[in-house]
Amino acid sequence: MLEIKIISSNDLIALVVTLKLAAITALLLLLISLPLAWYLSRTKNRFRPVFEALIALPLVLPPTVLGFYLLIGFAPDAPFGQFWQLITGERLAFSFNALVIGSMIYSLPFVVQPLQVAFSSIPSNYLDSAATLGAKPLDQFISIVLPLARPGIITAITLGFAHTMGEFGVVLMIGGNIPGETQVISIALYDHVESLAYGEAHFVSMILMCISFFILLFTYSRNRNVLRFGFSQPRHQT
Amino acid sequence: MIQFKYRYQLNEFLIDAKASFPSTGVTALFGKSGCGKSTLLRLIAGLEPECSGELIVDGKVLEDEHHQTPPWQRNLGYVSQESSLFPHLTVLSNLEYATKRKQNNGHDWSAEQLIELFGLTDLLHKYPSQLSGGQKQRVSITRALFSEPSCLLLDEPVSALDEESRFDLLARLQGLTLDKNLAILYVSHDRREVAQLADYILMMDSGEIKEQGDYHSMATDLKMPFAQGRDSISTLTVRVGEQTDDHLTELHYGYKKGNKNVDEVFWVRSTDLVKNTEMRLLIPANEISLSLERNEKTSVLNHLEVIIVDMSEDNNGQRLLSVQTEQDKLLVKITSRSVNRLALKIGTKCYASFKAVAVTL
Repeated sequence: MLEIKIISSNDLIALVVTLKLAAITALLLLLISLPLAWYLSRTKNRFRPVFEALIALPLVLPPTVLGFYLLIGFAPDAPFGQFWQLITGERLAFSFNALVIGSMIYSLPFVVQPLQVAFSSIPSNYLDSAATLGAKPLDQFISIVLPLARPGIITAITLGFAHTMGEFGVVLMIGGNIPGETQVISIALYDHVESLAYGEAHFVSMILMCISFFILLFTYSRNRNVLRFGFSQPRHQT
Repeated sequence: MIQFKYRYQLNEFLIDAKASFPSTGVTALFGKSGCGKSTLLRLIAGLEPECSGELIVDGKVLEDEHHQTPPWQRNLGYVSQESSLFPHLTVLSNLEYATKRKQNNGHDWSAEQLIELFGLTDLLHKYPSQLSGGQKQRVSITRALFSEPSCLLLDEPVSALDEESRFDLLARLQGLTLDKNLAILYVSHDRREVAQLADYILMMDSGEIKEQGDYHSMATDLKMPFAQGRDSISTLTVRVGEQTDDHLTELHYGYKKGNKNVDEVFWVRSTDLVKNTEMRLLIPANEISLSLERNEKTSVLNHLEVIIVDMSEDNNGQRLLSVQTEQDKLLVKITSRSVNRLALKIGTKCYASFKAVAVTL
C-alpha cells in the first residue's frame, strides 16, 4: 500500500543535488554547444560527420560504458584526474564536479542537435545582408542567429536539463553515492527499492514524474515546434 | 570609377570578368539568366570570400592579391533577389539595424526622405511576414540605403514582383538616382528595366563582360548585343506636361533644329505621371511603324521625323533599323517585306509613328 508521508530529508537533499546538477549542466552545455552547433551547421569540413557521430554517441551507448571510461579517466592516478587536481587542488573522482563533467558528455547530443537543426534552417541570405549592412560575425550571431534560433535554444536547454535529471547509469558509475554531494534522486530511488522501502520509492518516483512532465509541458506549450527541433518564426504581435 | 576583376571557378562554370563603371548613376549588369551576373554581384559584395580578385571603388582598394576587405567593411549596399528582411524585427528595426552600423555619412538623403520616397510611412511597425513582395523589396532597398553605401548592388530586385509593383519600384528607383553620390549596379535580364534606369551598361555573357559603354551608345548601336534581341527597345527623354480631358498625358520632346527650339508633343495613356518631371519614354522597337509621308489619317497619335542610319541583315523576315531623330536614335523592327516595298535604305527620310499605349512600361 502506498503510504503518503513527508519527504525524508535525505531525499530532499538528493532532489536539490539533482536540480543543481541539471541546472549547471544545462547552462554549461549551452555555452559550449552554441559555438559548436554553429560551427557544425555552417562548416564545409569533410570530417563533419565524424564530429557529429562522436557527439551522438551518448544517444546509443549504454550509460554504464560512458561511466566506466569516465571512472577510469577521473581516477587520481589518471592523467585527466591528475591534471584536474593540479588545477583545482581537489580530487575529481566521486565529486560533484565529476558528475557535472559526466552529465555534460552524457547530455551533449540533446543540446547540440536541436541547436544545430535550428541554426541550419536560418537562411544564409539573412547573414549576407547583415554582413553588407556592417555587422561583423559575432554581431551577426547575436543580433540575427540567436533571436531566430530562440525556439531551438529553449528546446536545447530544456532537453539538456530534463535528460540530466533522469541520469542514472553514469552517476552510478562515477558518483559514489555520497549524500549531499553526489547522491542524486534516481540513485536515492534505487536505494529505496533495494531496501524494499516501496512507499518512499513511489513518492520519489512521483516527484520525478511530475517535475519532468511540467518541464516538458512548459516547453511544448510555449513552442509548437519542439518536436521538429526546428527553426520557427517568432510570433508577431499584430 | 569602380573597377573590378574576378576569376572564379564555380563547379563547371567559370567567371572571368573585368570591367569598370562610373561611380554615379545606374549601371546595368545585363545578360541572360545563368550567365553569372548574380555571382559576380556577390563577389563584388565580398560574399564569396574563397575567391579573391581586384576591386577598387573611387581609388580605394577593397580587394587585391594581398588583401580582401570583409563585406562588413566595404560599405557596399546589397539587395538580393529574394527578401532578406530580418523576420524577428519590425520594418523600423530593420532600418535601424543599418543605421546603427553605418560607416559613412555621404548621402544627401535624410531618413525621412527615404521612407517617404519608398512609401514606407505606414509600414514602419509591421513585421516582414505582413508585407507584400513589393513592399518587402522597397524595405530591403531602403535598409541598404540607410547604411549610406558608396555603391548599391541590386540583384534583379523586381523580377519576383507583379507588373504593378514592378513599375512602382522602378519609378521610385528613378527618383533615387537623382542622388549624385550614389552608384547603383543593377543586375537585370530585362531590356525594359535597363532602358528605364541605366546610364551605363555592362553586357555579360558566359561569365565574361563582353561589352561596356554608356546607355545611349549601347542601346541603339545595331552591332551591340544589347540592341539585338526579341525585346529590342529604345528611349526618348521627355518632360511630363498637362493631362488632357480624354485621359491622356502630354509629353514634351524638345530638340534643336538649326537655331530653332522645336517641341514635339506625344500623348500617352497614363495618369499618374508627375508634371514637369523628366522621364524616359520607352518605345519597343516592334511598336514603331515607318511611313514615307507624314500621315495624320491614322489612329496612331505620335509621329516623329527620322532618317535611317543603319540597318541589320534579315532575320527570319524581320530587320532591325536604327533611325536618327534630331538628337536621339531609335530602334525600329519591321518586316523585310516592308523594307523592300518602301525601298528603305540608309539615308531615307521617313516618319516614325508609335501608339500612345505602346510607350508606357
